[in-house]
Amino acid sequence: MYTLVLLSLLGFLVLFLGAFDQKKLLLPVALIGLAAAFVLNAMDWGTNITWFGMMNYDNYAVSFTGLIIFIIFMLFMLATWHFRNEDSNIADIYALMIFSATGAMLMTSFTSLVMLFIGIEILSIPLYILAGSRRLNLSSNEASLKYFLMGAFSSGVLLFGITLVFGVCNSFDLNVISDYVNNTESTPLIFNAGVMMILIGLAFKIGAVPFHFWSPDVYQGAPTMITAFMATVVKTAAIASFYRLFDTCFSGIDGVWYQIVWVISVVTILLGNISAVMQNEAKRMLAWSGVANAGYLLIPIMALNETSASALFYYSAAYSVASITVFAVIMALSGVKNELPVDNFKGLAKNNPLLTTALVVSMFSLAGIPPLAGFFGKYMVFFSAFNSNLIVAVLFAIAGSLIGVYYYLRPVVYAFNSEGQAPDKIQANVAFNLVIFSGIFLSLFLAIFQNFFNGLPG
Amino acid sequence: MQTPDTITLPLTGMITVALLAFPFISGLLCLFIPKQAKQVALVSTLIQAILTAYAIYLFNINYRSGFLANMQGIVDQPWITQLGVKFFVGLDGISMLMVILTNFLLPLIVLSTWNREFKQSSLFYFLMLFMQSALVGVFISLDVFLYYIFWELALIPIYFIVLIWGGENRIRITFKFFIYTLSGSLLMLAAIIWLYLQAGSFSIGDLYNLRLDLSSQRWVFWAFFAAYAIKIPLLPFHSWQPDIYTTAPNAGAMLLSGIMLKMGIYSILRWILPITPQAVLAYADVAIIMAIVGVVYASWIAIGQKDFKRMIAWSSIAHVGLITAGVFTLTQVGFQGALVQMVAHGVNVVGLFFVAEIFLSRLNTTQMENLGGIRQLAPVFASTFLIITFASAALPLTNSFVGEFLLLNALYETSYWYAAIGGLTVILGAVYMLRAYKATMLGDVQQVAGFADLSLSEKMVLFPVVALIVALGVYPQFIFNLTDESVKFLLFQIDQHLATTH
Repeated sequence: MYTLVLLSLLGFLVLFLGAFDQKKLLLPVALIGLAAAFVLNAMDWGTNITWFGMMNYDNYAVSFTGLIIFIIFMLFMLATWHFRNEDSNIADIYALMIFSATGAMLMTSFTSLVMLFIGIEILSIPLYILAGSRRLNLSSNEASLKYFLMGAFSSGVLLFGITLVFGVCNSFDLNVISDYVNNTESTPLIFNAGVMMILIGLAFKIGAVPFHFWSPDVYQGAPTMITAFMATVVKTAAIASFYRLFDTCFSGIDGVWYQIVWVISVVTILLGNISAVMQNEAKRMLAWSGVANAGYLLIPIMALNETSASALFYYSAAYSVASITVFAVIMALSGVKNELPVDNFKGLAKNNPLLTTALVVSMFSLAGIPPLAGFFGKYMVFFSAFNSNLIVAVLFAIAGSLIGVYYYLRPVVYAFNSEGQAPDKIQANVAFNLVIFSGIFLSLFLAIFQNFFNGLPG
Repeated sequence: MQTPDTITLPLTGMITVALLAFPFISGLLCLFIPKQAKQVALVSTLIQAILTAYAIYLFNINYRSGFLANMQGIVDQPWITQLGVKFFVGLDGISMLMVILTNFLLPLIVLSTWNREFKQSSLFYFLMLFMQSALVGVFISLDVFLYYIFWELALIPIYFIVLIWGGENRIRITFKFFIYTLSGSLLMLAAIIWLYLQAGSFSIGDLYNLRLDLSSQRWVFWAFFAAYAIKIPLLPFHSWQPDIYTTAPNAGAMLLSGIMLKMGIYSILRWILPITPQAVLAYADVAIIMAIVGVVYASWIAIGQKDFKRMIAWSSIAHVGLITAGVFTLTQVGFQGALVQMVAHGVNVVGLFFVAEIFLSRLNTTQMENLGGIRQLAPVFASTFLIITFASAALPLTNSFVGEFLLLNALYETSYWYAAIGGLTVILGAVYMLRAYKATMLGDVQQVAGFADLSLSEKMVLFPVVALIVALGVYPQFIFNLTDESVKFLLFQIDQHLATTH
């Protein structure tokens, strides 16, 4: 809770610093604020406090919040170099990212459906603006509009679902709903319809098929920093809220949604991976890869056993770390441009060994090659699935990962391609390189801290 | 029988860990001293070979505990407790043999690159040493999850070695190789997770004690066997292999065929025979037939090859096919033949690929029609090549003779027809090897004018290869002594398993 207050204040502070033209102070203040928020959040560990019957800071919420703050910290470190030439309304961008993160925090800790909805809206509304923050860029505007229309529509569906559930249970409180589900022989159709609509609303947010159409265009059109934010923070928050809701409320009626999630998950994995193969633009490819990863993340939700939460957390962490590192490489390579054809990775290895190492390690981690973090993420997902006898889903997921290897390896192969013009040595600042280094380090060695991580979501 | 409590073993876990970690650490050193990477790599592989020799000296071949025969040098530490994964390694006779093969071949492979200047050579030697660590890891892991990690890890350096320093079409070929082997591995991973849920542990002992019903054994067997059949490779999963052997730099091809494909055969012995013996018994004939058809088919194709490297690639499929067939006879003779032949093939194929490297470095081609008459210009080279040729064709007093004799013997005991058809490999092997020798060494000097005889560094590769060929041919007893206890235990384990399941 104090973390939430701190983050909101930090957002305003950054906004004011921008208004008073203190550009030099912006990032230091934001970074210090985030670090403080991280510590404050960690202090909530094990306290399990409920606030106003609306939010509960259990260990699950604390771990996911910690992850989200860590990701934003990394992104801001990248911003120190990436936004070096940007002078207009930079403070707004930082402030909006911080506000969006407070929404993400609500999504990890809600105990009321109202909080879930408010969290999603607080997360989304700044993003609609952020996606269009390159005002003079046509594709950025297009991304913003698309994201807004789709997002508003999905929020509407979600809200509709929430009202239907409220109509039956007469409460927004998760515990009341959960009691109702557990004590009712068969839930009425109207309740099931409500659950279905909530499912659709959340599937929109994580970008699962068939609600994924916005994601490639928005990922490609939005500024790279914002794309990275969407691929990591938004996805992590959405999946955390998805699991929290279905684990506490709807586990008793899994007959209603189980098969639908199964189909969504398998189709998402296959379609995401197959479409990613055909992309020639790096951000678009990562968008489809993000779609595919949403499919993997749905598997622990189907499995819904004691290993699910840690699988989700570890997978999100591994995926986010690798994604940020890849996006950092894309930022370095694309410069002021908003897009990066995969061809542009050609010859990267020649003058940029650090960036190449980062690319190789992250792509292999995303592809799920041991002993990198991504492999353990996939392993834990498969493991939770096996625990609940989801063998066929795992076989589809394995087939999907095999397809995934193709497009994850393509930039790597190009990086070692010596034909044509190799990019010059790219000189980034210390903070940027620090992110790259820690990205490599975490992808390599997250497995060593596995014991620590597994205990996290509680 | 001595129990582990009453005897202190000279071979300690420290040495096992050193064998695993040393190459990787010296590989990192290569990255930091890029100018002397080659020297660092050579010295480190030599030190590793000496360390291995020391481990052999300490290895107690008569030791026998209740746990996995003469397994020693054990380290058993928790790693990811939540997942039940342990850092659990140790050496028995079979592992020891494979570690010896790896660590004695590596100095030769590093030396074989001595005259070649690679771009980014520090990265090249780092990947070689990285590969060495991963291979040793595969051979010493006693925790199946740890084993899986090393198994996959071994794929990455060789992928980059071929991708960065390979020949024509390397992007397409390495990609096919990567996807092919990874698809097998992922099936194996699914089976590993499933086994864990049955046994509650990844440890080899618990898996060996697991008694699965036949239908579970069947799918576990196929999931593992698919991974191994691809890696070895057996027909019809071989199509990645000739391409990658041809396009790989010769040192990479040596790693692939000399050591890496032995991972598959070793893994059959280590994992699927003792865990799913009933399924093995049910499908042994299928596996043997796959292997033997591969032997004849690959030998036949090898005869028609025009490129020397491609011929070695196909001959390699034939040789390992026979080894796999021998393993699936499930007899002591078959196992021992397979072990001897694995070492023999490893030595011979390094020799053969180095011969290819010599052709390539002098004449920039390995097409046999462009060679010919080299014997007149380079008699020492021709003589050593002749001995390697004989060894490949399994002439008596060479290492392959012992192995192939035992393998055919074991096949004969299973079925006359297996031995008869598998035995064609000896005849066909002689045909393609002697044909290749004739095409390259004999005849008139036409396009090879100025072919220099062996230089000192080349001698230092080929002479040890020849020495190993003769030594193992004359005295294979070393391998029998080393692996006897483990092989007996393996058979005992299979019998006991079969006796207690229905």
